[in-house]
Amino acid sequence: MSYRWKILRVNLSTGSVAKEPLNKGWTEKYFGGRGLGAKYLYEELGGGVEPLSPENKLILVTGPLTGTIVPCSGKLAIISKSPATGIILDCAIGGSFAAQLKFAGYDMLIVEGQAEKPVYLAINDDDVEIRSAAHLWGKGIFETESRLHDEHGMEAVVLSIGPAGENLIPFACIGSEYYRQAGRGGIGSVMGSKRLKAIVCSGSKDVIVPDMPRLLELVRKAIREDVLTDTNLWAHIGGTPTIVEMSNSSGVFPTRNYQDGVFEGAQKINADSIRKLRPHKKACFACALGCGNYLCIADSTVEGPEYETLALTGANCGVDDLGAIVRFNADCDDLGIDTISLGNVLGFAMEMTEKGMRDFGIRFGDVETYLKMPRLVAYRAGVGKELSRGVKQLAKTYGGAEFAMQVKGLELPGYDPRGSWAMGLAYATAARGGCHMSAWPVADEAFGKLDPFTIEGKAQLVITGQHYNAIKFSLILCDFWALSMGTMSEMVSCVLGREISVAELAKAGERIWNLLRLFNVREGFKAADDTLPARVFKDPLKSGTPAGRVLPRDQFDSMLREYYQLRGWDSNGAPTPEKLKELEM
Amino acid sequence: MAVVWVRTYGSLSSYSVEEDVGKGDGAPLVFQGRRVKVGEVFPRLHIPEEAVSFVAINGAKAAKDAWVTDGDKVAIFPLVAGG
Repeated sequence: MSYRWKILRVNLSTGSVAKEPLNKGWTEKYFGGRGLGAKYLYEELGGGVEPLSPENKLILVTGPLTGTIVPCSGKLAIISKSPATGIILDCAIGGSFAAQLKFAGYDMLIVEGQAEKPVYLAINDDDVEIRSAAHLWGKGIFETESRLHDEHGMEAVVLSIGPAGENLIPFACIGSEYYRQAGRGGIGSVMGSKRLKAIVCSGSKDVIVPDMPRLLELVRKAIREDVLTDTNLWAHIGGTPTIVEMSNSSGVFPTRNYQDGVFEGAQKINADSIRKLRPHKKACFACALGCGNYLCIADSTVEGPEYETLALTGANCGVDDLGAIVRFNADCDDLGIDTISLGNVLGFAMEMTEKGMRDFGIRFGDVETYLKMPRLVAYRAGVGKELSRGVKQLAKTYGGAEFAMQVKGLELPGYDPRGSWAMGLAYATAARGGCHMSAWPVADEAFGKLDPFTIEGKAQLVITGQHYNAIKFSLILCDFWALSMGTMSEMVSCVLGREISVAELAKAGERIWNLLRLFNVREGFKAADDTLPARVFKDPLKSGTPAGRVLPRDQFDSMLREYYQLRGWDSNGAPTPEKLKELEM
Repeated sequence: MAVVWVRTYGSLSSYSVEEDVGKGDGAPLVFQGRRVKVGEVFPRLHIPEEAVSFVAINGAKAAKDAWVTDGDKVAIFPLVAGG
């Protein structure tokens, strides 16, 4: 089997490093990644733990497909309790760290406690050391990675935080390979709270696949017929900026803090504008798609900018200057800041300022001030001290809750729910708050054939997407490979050496989703928390196809009730004992 | 006669004239009639209809049987997954 059956557990308070067996029973129910990490966190953490305290844990998880030749299997899951939301946080990061962790002999790394002084963790097969990070603390992610490569060699893969993580900003991210991020929910500040600057990993061990000839044949066929197809190649050719024009044409492109869904400057920041500026591409470990597109403009280089960055730090801030967005993006990558959340924070601050509710000194389209913001926020300097608290907390202090575009404390991604009603339900019910990585029904509605302005069938659409992604991100596979559950079942059966049916995978997807919910219920979250910002219910969109539309509150409530009913949850959004029994939990 | 300006995206980019992509309005296609259905644009570029998932006319989402007239700008997208 492709598991290494070993967990590396590091306690930074005591300095202990332990190697212990992976729970085999749990792998059969939760596989790896999002599911297995959530299971460990749920069982080990208990309720009510303060996210930035030593009691919180940072769990890095591979999956059964990690380290094999299965395409798009390079991602790593990082699970913790979020300082932004107080609920479960599961992030995924591309690159090759996950494969190196597996090659070093571990399925999972659990980091506990809090170091007295800044440290980094160096893993090289069986050698695991907690080392001083005095020379790295205060440095950006780019310099941190470069220095660690100098010390440990270019083969070593680095996960690190920047000043934002060190300063415990609730939307700080973890970076790897310079431009890849575990972006959301302040996962970087959990690492910062442990005074853990970086993790360096290199491995030289094998990953055993029981039936390699069968896997080789499956992978050959999959690459030819299932991976390098039109449905997936858009990510390689145009990358996520392709979505800019689709989103803008559908009227769901967040503009000036979601006051509109059509941005007049979209042509300046769409795939056409970006395409000619791309010098080269990059792929994660074992990826045939290669969605990483570098862009150089003026003195800034980024891998991206991705759609979410163009939407939230571009249109949502009223900025159509591509060079400025790229520079902003590069600063965020180096400082370790989530661009989705910061774009929302700035959009909110700009609207507050322009409405005269609170002067944050920044207005829509003010590029000069906008470019100063990542640094001010990362260091909590000047106006950055307030802005670094995130949209929900800002609204609590200064008002504007009705247009604070967040769910459960996590700022919204770039698809306006008024033009994609199922996306509203997906945001409201996502386990980690306002998130597009649990289900992405906007592809079926605003970008597809389904009527976006009806609730009929939408609860089931969202549930299906949530279960699909729950199992996909537990195996782990990348979201850019739109593979069937049948293909998933073939691949995982091959690496585990036992037949895993589609039905078994589907049930595991539902089980994982219920587990995430149980975590949040234990933290006190209820049905009332499964909601959306008032703007979505009250302020009609101004332009394009959804002009004049809101997501009517009563329609949303009906959709949510149907969602609970279909899930077998009670009216408070909690899984019933019968449902848990059915799922063997 | 109608001149329709066409841009293609993602994997459909290969059906377009490379040097015209990324330059403002895209590639011009000339039709005999004063107006045509946008679905008639696809065969002119040899794009299989089933490969087209999303069409925008002049920056707004449109159905495959929507009409286009002289000077209209058409953007054609494949199915996208992920996000």
